Amino acid sequence: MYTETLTSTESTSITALTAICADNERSVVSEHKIESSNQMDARTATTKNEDFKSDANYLNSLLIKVAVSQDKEAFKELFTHFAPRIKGFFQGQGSSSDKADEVVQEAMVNVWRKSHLFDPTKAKASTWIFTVARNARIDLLRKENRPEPDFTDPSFFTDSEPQPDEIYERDNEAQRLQVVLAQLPEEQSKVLRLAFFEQKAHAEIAEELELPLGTVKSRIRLAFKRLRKELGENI
Amino acid sequence: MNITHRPSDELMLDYASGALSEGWALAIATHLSMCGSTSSLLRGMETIGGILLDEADEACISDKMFGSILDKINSDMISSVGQKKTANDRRFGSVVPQPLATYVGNDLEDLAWKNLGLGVRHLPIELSDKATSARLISIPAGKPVPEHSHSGRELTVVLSGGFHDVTGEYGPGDIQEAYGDLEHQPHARDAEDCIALAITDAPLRFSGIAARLVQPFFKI
Repeated sequence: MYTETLTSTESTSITALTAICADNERSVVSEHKIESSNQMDARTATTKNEDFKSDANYLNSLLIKVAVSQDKEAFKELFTHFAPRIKGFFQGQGSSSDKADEVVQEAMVNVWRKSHLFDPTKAKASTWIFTVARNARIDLLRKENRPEPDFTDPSFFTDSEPQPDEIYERDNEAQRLQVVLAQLPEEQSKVLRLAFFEQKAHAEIAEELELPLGTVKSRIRLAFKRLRKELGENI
Repeated sequence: MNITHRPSDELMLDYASGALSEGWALAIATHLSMCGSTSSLLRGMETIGGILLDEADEACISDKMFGSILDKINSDMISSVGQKKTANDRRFGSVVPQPLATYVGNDLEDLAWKNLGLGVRHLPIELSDKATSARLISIPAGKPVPEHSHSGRELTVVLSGGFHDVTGEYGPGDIQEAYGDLEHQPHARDAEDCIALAITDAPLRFSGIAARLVQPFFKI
């Protein structure tokens, strides 16, 4: 639910960010605990994350440094990590390398410009950067506005303030989602990947796969029935 | 807010992936502003987007790109002094959620409502997305909108008051996702006027004689 156009106060992110920087070691330790308590397949899925440099907390801390002190070294590290992935992510059929480069460039400029809106209690760096890149692509390719909710609007959104522990909870949740995603049947995961990589609506996916619309809908619903269980909330 | 009608998973996936065009996205964003549960689902979907980004194949990036990004952000730093965003000045108790307020302002009574006949009023909303049409619609307490069916999709988000039809009872924050197969006649609740945001991608088809007598309805 984290969106880049939030008008959140900087202080929330900064406080949370400082907490993350200071507690970086602690959170790495706690992640190991999580891993050992998970099942074996969780281990396989999280192998990638064992490299400290790609550790979610490390990426969060880079983004916080960009937000708090306009740290260009940290920004360069984020660029090195994310730019090739954003390009790979969106370089599906139909979008040329040039277009993908434009999206990457626009997305990374917006990561810099909007970094003060990043709130690690609400999203990991990769989640937030996904939303920034997604919106950059809509902006560049469709030249449209993307209406988004303002989750800081108190008269409509009455969630309680996130607690520092929620940062770790978000990480756990992301890890659990990653495991479940890896376990989804191929036909379900294919639909999700087409949706995200190619920004295709489910009706377009049905056309592309030459499937009845109802089949695509039911694959999406089955996938989220499973994924919902990991979201730990009544949704 | 007691929300009982939420968007389908497939519609939320379309929103999370960025596939929804502006009109539909406006309806979803307006609903999200009022529904914590759908917001949690969106957060989960965006987390999945982030996971897929993490796992994406790394494509080749030109050495020059970082330099041109730095040029852009350096020129920002010179020009952006004093451009801090100010807090929005919404009045407490306004019923217009922020994504919608961007289009219509904060005060529903202050809008240039147009009469459609039978006491129903509407306010067309200008979008850059030409594939959908968006409007606010106001139905007098206890009164119906003429019976109609849809050629395409219709999303309706209740802002205040409420309505009921063959599919159920809708209150503030609820979203109705209607497709071509639904023929319905929404009735506003008795207690107050129902104000809703409605997005369509094809003209409605009115079935009763009442609407046929009232020309403006044909344009919806």
